[in-house]
Amino acid sequence: MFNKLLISAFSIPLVCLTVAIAGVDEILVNEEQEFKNLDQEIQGLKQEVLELNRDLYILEEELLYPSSTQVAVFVSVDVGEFFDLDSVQVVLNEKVVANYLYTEREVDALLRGGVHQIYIGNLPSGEHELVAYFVGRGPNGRDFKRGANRIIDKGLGAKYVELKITDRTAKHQPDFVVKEWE
Amino acid sequence: MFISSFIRVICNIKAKLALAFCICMVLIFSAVSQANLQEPNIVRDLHYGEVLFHFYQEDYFTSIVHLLAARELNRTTNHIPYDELLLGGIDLSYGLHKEASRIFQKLLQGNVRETIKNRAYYYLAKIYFQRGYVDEAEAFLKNVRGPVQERIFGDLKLLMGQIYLTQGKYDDAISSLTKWKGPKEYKHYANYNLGVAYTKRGDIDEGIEYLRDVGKIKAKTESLRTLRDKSNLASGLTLIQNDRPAEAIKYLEKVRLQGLYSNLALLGIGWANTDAEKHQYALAPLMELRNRSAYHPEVQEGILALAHAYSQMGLRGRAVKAYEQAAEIYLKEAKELAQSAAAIEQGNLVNALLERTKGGPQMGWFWTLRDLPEIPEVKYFTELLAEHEFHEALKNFRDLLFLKKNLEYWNENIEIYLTMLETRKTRYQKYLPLVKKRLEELDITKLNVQRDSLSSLIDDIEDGNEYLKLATVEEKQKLQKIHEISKSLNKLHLKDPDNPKVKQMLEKINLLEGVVHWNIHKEYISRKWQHKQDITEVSKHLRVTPGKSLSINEAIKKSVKDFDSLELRIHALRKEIKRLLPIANRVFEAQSRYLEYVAVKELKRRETILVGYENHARVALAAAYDHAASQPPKIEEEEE
Repeated sequence: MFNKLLISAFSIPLVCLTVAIAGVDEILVNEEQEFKNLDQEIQGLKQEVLELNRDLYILEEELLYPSSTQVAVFVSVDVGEFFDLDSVQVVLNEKVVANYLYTEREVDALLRGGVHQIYIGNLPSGEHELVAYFVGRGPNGRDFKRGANRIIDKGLGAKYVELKITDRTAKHQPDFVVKEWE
Repeated sequence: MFISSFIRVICNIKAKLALAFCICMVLIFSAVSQANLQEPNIVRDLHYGEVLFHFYQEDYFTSIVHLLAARELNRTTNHIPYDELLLGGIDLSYGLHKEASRIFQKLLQGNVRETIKNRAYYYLAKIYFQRGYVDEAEAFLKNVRGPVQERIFGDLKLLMGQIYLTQGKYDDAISSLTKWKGPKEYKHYANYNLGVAYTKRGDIDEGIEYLRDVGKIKAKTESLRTLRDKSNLASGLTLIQNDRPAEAIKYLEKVRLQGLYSNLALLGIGWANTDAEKHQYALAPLMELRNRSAYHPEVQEGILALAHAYSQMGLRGRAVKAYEQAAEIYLKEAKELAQSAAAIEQGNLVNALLERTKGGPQMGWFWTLRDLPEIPEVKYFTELLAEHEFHEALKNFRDLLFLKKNLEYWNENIEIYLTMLETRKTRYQKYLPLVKKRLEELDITKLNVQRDSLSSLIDDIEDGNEYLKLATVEEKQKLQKIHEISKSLNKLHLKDPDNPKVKQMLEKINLLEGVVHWNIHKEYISRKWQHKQDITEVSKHLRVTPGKSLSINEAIKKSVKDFDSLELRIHALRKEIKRLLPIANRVFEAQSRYLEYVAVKELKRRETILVGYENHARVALAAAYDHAASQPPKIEEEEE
């Protein structure tokens, strides 16, 4: 009895709705077509703006950091079981050039294989001293701060340096490596 | 808090009730569709890793721009063709289905490994399925050959299962999802879909078995908790549909009270009890439902069901009151819906969203529900977000707003680059003549002769052990002074040979001279070595200087060309920005209107339903009045 009542009860609004929808059917079809066109336009615009930004990005880099003097420093994390990264400081030739505090989201991206460009700048050819300080939590959740340094040899082309945080499983300690890329 | 405990608290009842109601099940899929787009986590190009850093944070715009630039500058050569696969995947995430499709099709035409092809087929299938081309999606997936990597296997199997379910091919769906070999974390989703496939095929018990397993999982994440709720809900509603309400109720009670599916579960429990003619047990869930936002269809139905339950219990007074309240609620809610729709039509929604983003350009995808504006006129905003069409429209609105602001930013700042270039040119023109002059004056032969002469001088010093020649200026001055004093003292000594003071002074000055000589001699070896080193260094520089002069000359020529090329590029980009800006403004305006249209359409649809409910409540009310007029109440009513 209850079900019958419900069926009759809910048939009222459903009928109303059907009538209402039938009345505007044609309009909806037109609007749907309009939306499809709009969606196409949005996709096209997105693509064009992306390509524009690509060209601007390249132009900006060429203007501000020409490859002959460009130096870029990257941070990566491999495994990261013994170290919870909070921040990294980069010192180039005794001058602090970057200080970066990582968010949880960014640390997660690093743990998944992402690489963060922490610094980009210019240096003349020759030898330069790079020191990096890593701050975070080490084994057993203790506060942990470590430094790593390297004399980098800047040649004629762009120089890329990777600050790599790895795990030394045998010692249950994190390891910090400065690696030069050509 | 689960519904079961809530009901125990409120009514202290044991749910052994019946239910007869039908609600269609919905498939779960999107939560696991974000497949790993890249090869295993080995970064062989730093810039490729940098793209992943942005991509993993769902900053699709930046990751695409950086990937396009990195590919253009040949910085991802060690990741070919995965970089292209990644680009297609991010494009897909950013809503660029057309471009993503083009990339995957192009990959398939190339000479690439089977694993790459398999991934391309998977993404193409996904694009086509999302766009509603189910048969085409199936055809793409059927091209997948050989063993598939585990990381993609789960997504692929789930997609295949969903395609078959959509096509009504339940047997195929079951064989695709049975004996799960994919990643463990996907197993629960596969089992859910398997449960759905079985129940759709008519094998209720087998289907429920899978759904029950998923309904018991220890969920650590919100998405898994939602899946668990959904499974219990699906089990409950399937059992209701098949006239097994007593079994259904225990599943429905497991649904969380505050979760996404709590309204539906409460309504289900209400129906179950009502249908079993145990109306008193229906009251608690239906009363809880009544206290929730009347925007939700389940709540709207619940209000009527509550009145109906009172009526069936013979509590005619309460039934009348409940029907009256229902009619009032529907009327009030319908009015508010109409007001909100009018406010949206006047632009309040778009204005509030724009107000929210005044701080500066922000990537649309970073917006979260809690960041959304509080708009008094649009209290249904969060509910609207649950609607797919509105959600999609809002995403495009956000993206367009970002694009518009991005273009505005560049429109204002591109001039800076021209100024920068101009400054560099001016500086260059100032220093170029000086550099050129120095280069012209540079006489390498003369410098080589000087170097040779210095070299032989050091050799002579070494041969004759002439350490004094390497004394510093200060040391030489000291010795000079000592000699002068010594000369004066000797004169005094000749005049007065017995003077003890003069004798003593002479001894002292001789000692001092010895000390200075000793110190100079002590430094001699290291000084000689240092001078030789300096000469070697000079020789090295003199060797490379001719080459450097040539490269400087070439750099001068190249820089002139570079300046011209950069200037041309900046002008071209400025032109492009100016071309795109009005397009972005126009499309953004169109999308704003579309967003309003979708919101208003949905609100009006709900309003129409509410009007229908109100009519029904009034009809039921009239019937209750008629009944009350003809018969006295059966039992004494208690206060609620």
